[in-house]
Amino acid sequence: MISFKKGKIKVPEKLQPTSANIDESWLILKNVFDKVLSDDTHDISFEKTYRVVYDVVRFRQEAELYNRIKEYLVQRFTSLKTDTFDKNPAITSEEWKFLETLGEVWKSTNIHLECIRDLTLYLERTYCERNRVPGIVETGLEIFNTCLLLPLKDTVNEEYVKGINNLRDTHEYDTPHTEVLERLGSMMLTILSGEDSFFVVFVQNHLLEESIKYYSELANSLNLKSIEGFQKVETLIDFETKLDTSFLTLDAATKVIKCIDTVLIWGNYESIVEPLLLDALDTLNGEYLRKLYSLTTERKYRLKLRSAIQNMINKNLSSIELDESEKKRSLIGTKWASSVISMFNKYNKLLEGLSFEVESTIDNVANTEITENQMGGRQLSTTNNGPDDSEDFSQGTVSAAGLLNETFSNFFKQNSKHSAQYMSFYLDTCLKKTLEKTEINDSKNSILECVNLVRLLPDKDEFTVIYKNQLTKRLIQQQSSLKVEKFACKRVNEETGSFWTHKLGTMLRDITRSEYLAQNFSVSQQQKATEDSSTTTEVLEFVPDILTITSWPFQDIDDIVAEDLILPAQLEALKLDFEKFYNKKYNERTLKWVHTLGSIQIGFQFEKSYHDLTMPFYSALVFLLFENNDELTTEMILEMTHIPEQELYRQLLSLVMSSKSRILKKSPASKTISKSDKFSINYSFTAPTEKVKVQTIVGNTSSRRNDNNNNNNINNVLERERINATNAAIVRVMKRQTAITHTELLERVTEEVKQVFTLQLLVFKKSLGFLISKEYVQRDPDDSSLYHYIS
Amino acid sequence: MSSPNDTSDSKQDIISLIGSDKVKHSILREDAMLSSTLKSIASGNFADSKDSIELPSMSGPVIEKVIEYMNFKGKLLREGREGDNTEVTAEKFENFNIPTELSLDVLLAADYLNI
Repeated sequence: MISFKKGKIKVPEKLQPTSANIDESWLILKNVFDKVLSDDTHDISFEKTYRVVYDVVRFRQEAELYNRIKEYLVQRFTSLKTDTFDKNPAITSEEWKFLETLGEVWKSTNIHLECIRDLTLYLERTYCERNRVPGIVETGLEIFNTCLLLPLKDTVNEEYVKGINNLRDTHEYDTPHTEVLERLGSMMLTILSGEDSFFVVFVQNHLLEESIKYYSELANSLNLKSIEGFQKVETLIDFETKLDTSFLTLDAATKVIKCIDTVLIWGNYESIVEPLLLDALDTLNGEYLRKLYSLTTERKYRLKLRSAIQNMINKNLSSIELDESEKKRSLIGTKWASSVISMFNKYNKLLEGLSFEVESTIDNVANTEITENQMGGRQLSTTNNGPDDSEDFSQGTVSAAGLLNETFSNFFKQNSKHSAQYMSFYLDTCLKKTLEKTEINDSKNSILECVNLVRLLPDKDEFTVIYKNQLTKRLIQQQSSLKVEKFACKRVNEETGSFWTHKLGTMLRDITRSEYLAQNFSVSQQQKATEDSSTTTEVLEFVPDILTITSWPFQDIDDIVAEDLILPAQLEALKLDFEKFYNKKYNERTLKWVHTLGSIQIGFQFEKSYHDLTMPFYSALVFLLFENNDELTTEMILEMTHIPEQELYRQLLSLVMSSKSRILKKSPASKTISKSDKFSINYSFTAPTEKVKVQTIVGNTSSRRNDNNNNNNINNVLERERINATNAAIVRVMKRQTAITHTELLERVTEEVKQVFTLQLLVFKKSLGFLISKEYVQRDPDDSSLYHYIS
Repeated sequence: MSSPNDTSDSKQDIISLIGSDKVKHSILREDAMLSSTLKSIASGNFADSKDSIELPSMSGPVIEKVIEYMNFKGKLLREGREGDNTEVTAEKFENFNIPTELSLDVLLAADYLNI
């Protein structure tokens, strides 16, 4: 800030212009500009020129000066074009000549314009800024464009593309030509034509078209259907990327590369990509899969790739055949499941680390695919992805694991008749191996792999029910290692949710507790034996399994409890002892004895050899009768044991008929049993091993019935559990929204339970009917499709 | 912003401005470059001498004043104070005196030099 002190302001002496005449000044300036344009500025004083401009402006001639400069530039650029290009038609005949010349012209024009700008800076500062007209350089460039570049644009276009193709042909990257292209590229981007740059307006499309043309021709000469061809394409694309990014805008470069992708690969999807893909999958070449995938960012193609991979895997999966030569369903199932699992592992390894990212809309696509795949049209479409996948979807991407999961989940859905059952069989087989300690680690791995897939099953509850039945069998017959069972149970629990599997935990707990009780009990028995040695000389070993009724999958407990069974005195005493012992520990609980689940081991000296016979409880009871009797009729046995009649027939038949464990003789020797048949011990029995397992054989006729029964049982249990779950889901939904229409309710409930099973309309109807009859839910009296929740 | 080292280096790089009185007035090149006009003259490919620039339209006292101002501004820029705290800057600027009788000449010179 200037402080104004008193004193005169001295008026500068020379306010008079050195030359006020615009024409005189212009002559000086024109001369200077001429020299600037011919790069001959060594004898010009910048200061003097600057002062001329300064004076012109000071005397209000700036508009005139500005216009004269414009005119001058128009004239100069027009003649430049004529001199350099028009008069020299041969310039286009030689490759690169035109481009090189244009590049040089551009380079010097820039320097010249900047120089003129500097000289006339005073004009630009005062006149241009005040009147909002473009500065000297901008004006100059515009004039350059209209007078020189625009008339030449076709040639520029042609030559530019020619130049690029030339580089493509030679595959040389670091040549001076690249520099020329680079310079011209920046020129075309700097110069504006209307809204956009010259490049975007005039050249880009032409370049794209020509690139497509170029590569189409190239594509014909390459053999693209093999991995080798693919490699060639890769190098081509690599080169092109390097080339384009050096002198094109990012936008244009991506466009060009996309074009090439389309031409070389995706344009011929069926004939090129698919064989390549199949090849890569066949040879398990993850590298190529990844490369193929990274070639494109377009959703359309990625989806195609995905579904191609899925189809391929699905095809391979479907080729896994059920080995009908095996007699047992469990063996067929195990084989099938283990093939499926090994295939999953194979592809999982292959696709590991590949990110098959596709935008979130894949979700819908996947959904529709699933719907199409469903055979029963009435089933509602659900995606059956684990929680992991839905997370992925929400992030808008699907990993390779997601893809695999989706594929396998669909596959299981297609095979929903047996997939749950077979997976369970597989686990059963694995777990049964765990008695051998050396197998434990292998089995653990198999279990982990298997349970991973269980997550993808459409009806997890079906799996759980079957698994539970098999677990029961294993636990009671002690066919597996409890430690591994617990491990497996925990994993299953994690995958299927605790609602369905918490009972498995209770079952395992029961067994553990029983072991503990057994120890305590045998200690107390031994004490008793030592105190009271006169009555019992030998202590029977007794292993109780105390099972919580509600947790175990026994249909109707009263059916299998035979209250009026007559036990041999020793067993009866043991039973009473244990009841006493148990009541002391748990006062409130009642014990019910389910003998059929137990087994008894008896040592017996036959004529030739001694054997430890492990036999079902009823068989043992029958056998024990012969301790005191040499020969008994069916009727007598019935009376002495009170074994249910049908059951007794079955047991007797197996004791007499079984080829490996025929320990009783019957007279007359026929294949049926009548009441008057007589039985006695078959002393001539012998077996190669000391331990003999006496099995209850099941006749052919009864076996089929049993199998059906078994299936029916599973289905019944399943339906009951599903109705329960549906009840709970309906109540949950309706608690939030007390009035709801039928369709909406169905949708919501389907959503609620889809993690575990696919809701069938029948189940839903039954469940809703149940809730209405229990008056939890009420139909609206006016609108029959509306329901109310009664709290 | 320049470090002290830079300052000492450029101290040796001095150019001179010659006004109508034909007397050489020295100024740091760095400071002179604050004027776009001087910068163009000194860096362009012209006949003008790069080390002593003639400014015949300005008198000696005006040039002295101009140089004083450019030194002052250059120093402020180097210290990195300008714009930081406008009050401090304004206060310092008040100490910068321009004799009344020269004010119009200095104004014209500033416009010419674009500083």
